[in-house]
Amino acid sequence: MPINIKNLSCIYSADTPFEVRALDGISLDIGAGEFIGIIGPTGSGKSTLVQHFNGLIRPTQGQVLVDGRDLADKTTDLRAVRQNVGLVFQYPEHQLFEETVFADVAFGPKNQGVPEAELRERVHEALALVGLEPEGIVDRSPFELSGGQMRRVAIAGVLAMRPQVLVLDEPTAGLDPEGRDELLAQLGQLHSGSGMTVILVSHSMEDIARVATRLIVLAGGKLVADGPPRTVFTQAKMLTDIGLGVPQVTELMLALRERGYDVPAVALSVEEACATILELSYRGEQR
Amino acid sequence: MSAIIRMEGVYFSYSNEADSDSQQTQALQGVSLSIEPGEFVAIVGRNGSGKSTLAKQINAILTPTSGEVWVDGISTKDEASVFAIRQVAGMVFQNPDNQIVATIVEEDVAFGPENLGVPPLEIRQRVDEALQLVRMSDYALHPPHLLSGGQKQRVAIAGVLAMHPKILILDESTAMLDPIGRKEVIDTALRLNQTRGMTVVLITHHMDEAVLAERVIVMDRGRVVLDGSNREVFKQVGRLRELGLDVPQVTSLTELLRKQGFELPADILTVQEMVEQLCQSI
Amino acid sequence: MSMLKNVTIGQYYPGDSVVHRLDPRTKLGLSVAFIVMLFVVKGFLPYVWLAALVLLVAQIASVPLKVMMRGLKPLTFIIGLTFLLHVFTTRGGVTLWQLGFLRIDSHGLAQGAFLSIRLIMLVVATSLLTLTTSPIALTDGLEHILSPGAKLGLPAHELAMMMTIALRFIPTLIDEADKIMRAQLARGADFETGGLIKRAKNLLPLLVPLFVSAFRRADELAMAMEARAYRGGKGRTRLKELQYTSSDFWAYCLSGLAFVAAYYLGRWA
Repeated sequence: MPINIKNLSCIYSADTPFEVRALDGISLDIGAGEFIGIIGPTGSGKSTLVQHFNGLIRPTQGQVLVDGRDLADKTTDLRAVRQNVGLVFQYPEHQLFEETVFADVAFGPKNQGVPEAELRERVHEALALVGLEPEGIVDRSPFELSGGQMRRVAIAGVLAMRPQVLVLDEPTAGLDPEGRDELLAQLGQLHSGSGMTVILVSHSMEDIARVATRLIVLAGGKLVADGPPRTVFTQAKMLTDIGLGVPQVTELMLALRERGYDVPAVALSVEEACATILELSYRGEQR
Repeated sequence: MSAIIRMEGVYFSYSNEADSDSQQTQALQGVSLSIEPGEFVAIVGRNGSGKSTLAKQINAILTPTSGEVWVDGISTKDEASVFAIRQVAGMVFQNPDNQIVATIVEEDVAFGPENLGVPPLEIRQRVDEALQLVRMSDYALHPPHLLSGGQKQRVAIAGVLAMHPKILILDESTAMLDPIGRKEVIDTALRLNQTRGMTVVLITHHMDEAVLAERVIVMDRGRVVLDGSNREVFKQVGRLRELGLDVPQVTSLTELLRKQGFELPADILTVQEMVEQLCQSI
Repeated sequence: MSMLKNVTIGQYYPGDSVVHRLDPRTKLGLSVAFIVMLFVVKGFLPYVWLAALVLLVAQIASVPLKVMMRGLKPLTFIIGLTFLLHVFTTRGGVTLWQLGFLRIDSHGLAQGAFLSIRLIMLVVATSLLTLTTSPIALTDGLEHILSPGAKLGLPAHELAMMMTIALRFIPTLIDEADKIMRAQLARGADFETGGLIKRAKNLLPLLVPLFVSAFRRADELAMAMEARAYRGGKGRTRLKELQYTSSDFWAYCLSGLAFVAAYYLGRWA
């Protein structure tokens, strides 16, 4: 289910001294099944952008097409769009409210009009997708779970609507390294297993470089880079200037190049850097 | 007794009932350590390892169920001295919003000295000085809700500094911040440690912050499992991974290269160090 | 949704005027006295006098008229309603207009005008108070005024502390409510359709998380306050101790005279 954005701008307090361009002329196309990372420093417009994907914010300038449907069109059923584009906000565990995990995860599908008989299937499916054992927790109160579990339940609540696009805003915020690795792995599995388009919004380069196959970089409301991580990271200086950064191993490659060594400008993983350095050393020995 | 923080055989359990499997619910299991004045110590560990519980023993928010904690020579068991302990050991918490009490920055920084009964003129001086130390003087009259996360945490640090403490405890104070905010907070802490000899205890799960500390304590299931310099601790890549922790990419790279027979010192922590070493070896 | 963000409660308009620097107790007391005068005096002339007084104070405080009138916007409906209610129901004087059983008498017009102007002045005076006095100063002032009650068991300090914290967290809670609403909307929640009861039920996905979060905040805040050696009002000093100055004396005197003048203006007319 494609999402097409044409020259989208989002301006608050237009024509006043307080005018803020949260988004400024953004154009991009997202195809089905992609795994995208949207990165930018705080205030770059990333949250504003993704809230246009499911119509939480209506476009006032520019065009947003979701599966061919124009979101600015008054006749477009936004609720249908919201089921197809699932949006998980930061610290999603703060939205839990029902008495049981079952009821909370079922909230989304219920609003969709999913019949009672099918709810159980949806809830169990969603919980399994986030790595939770349904039997153990469906009858428990979401408030008696651990922080990590609560977060997964919240994500399950969105997955239960069977969206075709899943957008997650800083899904690993506040998690320890282990929790973060588990969650990212889970999302990777979700993507490869279901063909869902997954969009991660983050300000952590190292996290996103691990899983995304396409990076979209925002700064000051503008699109400043769009491409595979390998290509985007070659613009290391620009990324550092806007307050992001590149993975340490890429930094290393750049530093080595500065010293005159002939190495690729980008390394995406420790393994890759290792291979590059060994090769460099081998070539060095050969002379 | 020169240590500014000393813990001996500290056990702590959150539940009050003495149940048979109390071993499981013990958040701290026999922790003993000492921290000298002026040290910059990072305490790391996975969620549930007890690091936050440990931090809260230092300013007597929690007291041991057995064992003892001394802060600047005062035992935290002494209820009458809790007030004095909290003046010596100031803590900045994880949620930037949930520690700011006042509607204007400088009034919040004044909260601590007000509680200590400091005379008004002196409060004024302390507030101005504290805001200067964290570089937030320009925001003295701003409402806190308009500040960024990093700015809020700096205000919180100022609020602690205004009490003239000897110890600054940062209890996961960077967990909810973006990279810029984290840098602001860590830079402030380093500056206070280096220029004013403040003892800093940094609880974090960001390894890029922990590497900056001269001493790192690693916790797991309520116990101290590693305690040494940042170099000593971080070069134990495998062990740290088992404990659910990260290492800087260059340190992990060093381990990988050494496994392949490459000659490198095991304790490389930064890109700079790596480049120097590689230039020598290649 | 975005209207939530525009709610300004007692917005402080910073400045360094004589008015701003007056002791909050003076401003609180005089505001109350002003409001009492509004209900005591009779006739338009005193109202003109009191309105001039308000405008004078606003001028001294360098508060633009536009800013003062902001507080009236959410109340235009009530003010309009008050006006119309009295215009159409109060009888007396000359009948100015009639259509069927709808009738407007001159007394009705006067009464409607009078009462709506009273309402407007009430709001404007209160606005002026909160515009020139920071929330902390206000709560300090209230704490002082209530503190004699502490001897009778009134927890003056605690009340003031509660008010300060509440004021501090209002924008934060509004932000959070906004976030929660968006998250639930993203799950297909509907906050708009349905009758009164249905809509109240539909608010649960917003209210429950908000309450849970508020309690969590309170818990964390309490711990943070204790960590900064808070132990109630005992032995506390203040950054800004309240102190009467000569300006306060003059403010009391001049306002007192103005109020007396207003009263007699009403008697003469």
